[in-house]
Amino acid sequence: MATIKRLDQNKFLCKVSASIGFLFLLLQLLNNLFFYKTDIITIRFPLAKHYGNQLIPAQIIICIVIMLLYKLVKVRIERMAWIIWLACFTISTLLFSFNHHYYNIEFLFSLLLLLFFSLANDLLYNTNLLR
Amino acid sequence: MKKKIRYYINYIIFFLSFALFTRLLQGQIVFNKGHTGPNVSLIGSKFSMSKNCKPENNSILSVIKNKSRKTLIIILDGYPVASVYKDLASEESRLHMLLKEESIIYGSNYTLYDRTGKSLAYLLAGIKYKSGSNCTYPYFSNNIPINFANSSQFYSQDDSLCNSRFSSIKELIGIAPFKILNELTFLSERFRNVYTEKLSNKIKECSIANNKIQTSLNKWILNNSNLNKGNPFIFHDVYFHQKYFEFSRYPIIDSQYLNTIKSLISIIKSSNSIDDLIIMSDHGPRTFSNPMQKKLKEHTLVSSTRNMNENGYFISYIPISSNNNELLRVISKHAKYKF
Repeated sequence: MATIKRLDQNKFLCKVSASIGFLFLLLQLLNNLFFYKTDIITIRFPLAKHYGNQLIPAQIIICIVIMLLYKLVKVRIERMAWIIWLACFTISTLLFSFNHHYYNIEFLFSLLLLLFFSLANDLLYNTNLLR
Repeated sequence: MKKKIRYYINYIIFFLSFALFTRLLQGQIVFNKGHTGPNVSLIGSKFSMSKNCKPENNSILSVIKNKSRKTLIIILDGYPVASVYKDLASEESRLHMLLKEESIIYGSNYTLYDRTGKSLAYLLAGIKYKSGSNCTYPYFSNNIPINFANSSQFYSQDDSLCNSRFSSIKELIGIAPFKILNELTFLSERFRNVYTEKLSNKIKECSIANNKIQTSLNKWILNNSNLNKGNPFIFHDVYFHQKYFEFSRYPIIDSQYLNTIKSLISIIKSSNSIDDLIIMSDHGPRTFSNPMQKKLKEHTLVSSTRNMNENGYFISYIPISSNNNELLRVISKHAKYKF
């Protein structure tokens, strides 16, 4: 009974963190579309090229692909979690290089750690490791 | 065992994802609300443009636009006026002496702001900063196109004389690891110093302090003479700005600037690549107010006031092809005093 409860809890936690990851992607997209302000002392011309706006189509495609993978292909949630956090890490790293000032090395390192744990979770679920 | 480990891992993932999401949300709210820079998002930027952000009549930029002459403006970021230089370096500035000799008008004044973006909007376009407006230099709400002749870590433009980014893989490998180590606050000073030194060398390469830049700058102007006609070429030099708290280096930088500017004037005069040359600063060295440089407070200046030190700027006009009387009239309003 306790094992079943733990399994349910694992699934629930995994779903919640994957959903948070998806919200993370949406937040980055919304910021790039409507809100991002650069610092007054760092201006790079042309503006459309230097602040990651060219990533917007890729961000939209990634969000759609993630929804399709979950709804239509029915990829299991453990796998979805690391796919989502991989996308978050990649986009955050690119935005960091495009002068988005709130990303820093510590933030990117934490994202990498999160990706590593999500991957480990999927591997543990999927293989006979540590049985 | 496996289920137990997964149970713990899932909790770590949950807390980490929650922490990172809230950190991102907080970062975006704080950054977007707290910064006065322009909105550069794809759709938001279209709504935040101000049509009122235009240069005032009788401002330097409006005169340059009307005359359609080729103008080069060299901005020495944070460079002190002659008297403040003398106080800080304990000797006369030879660069100021050269500017006095070469220009038909040379003088100093006080700017309203001690920050580059607001100060240059006021000095070049006559625009007074309104809170929350993004009518600041060099963006000007996207109403005034500017041709940057050089790029720095602050302001950059594609196809300018030098790149603010890494220009080769070799350079990336040489600098990027130190940049990353520099960002990790818990690491030793040593890495930070190496990065600062490497960055300083890169800034110097694209500065008036580099005694080889005058030829390439002149060549760049000749090759880009058709770029946005009626808008000035701006060479924004930040090398001194990065060193203003090292008073002992003032004479070295002064003589480096002097040599390059002297040579640049003779090159552009012989090639006639531009019609007017303006050399100016945007504000003084912030030796009083910089909270990062506490040691500067020991250097309380005797003869110059804080206002002269931080808000004092100089401007000089050197006509190359012929005198631009309209520009002369506008600049003489700036160059009121000799301090």
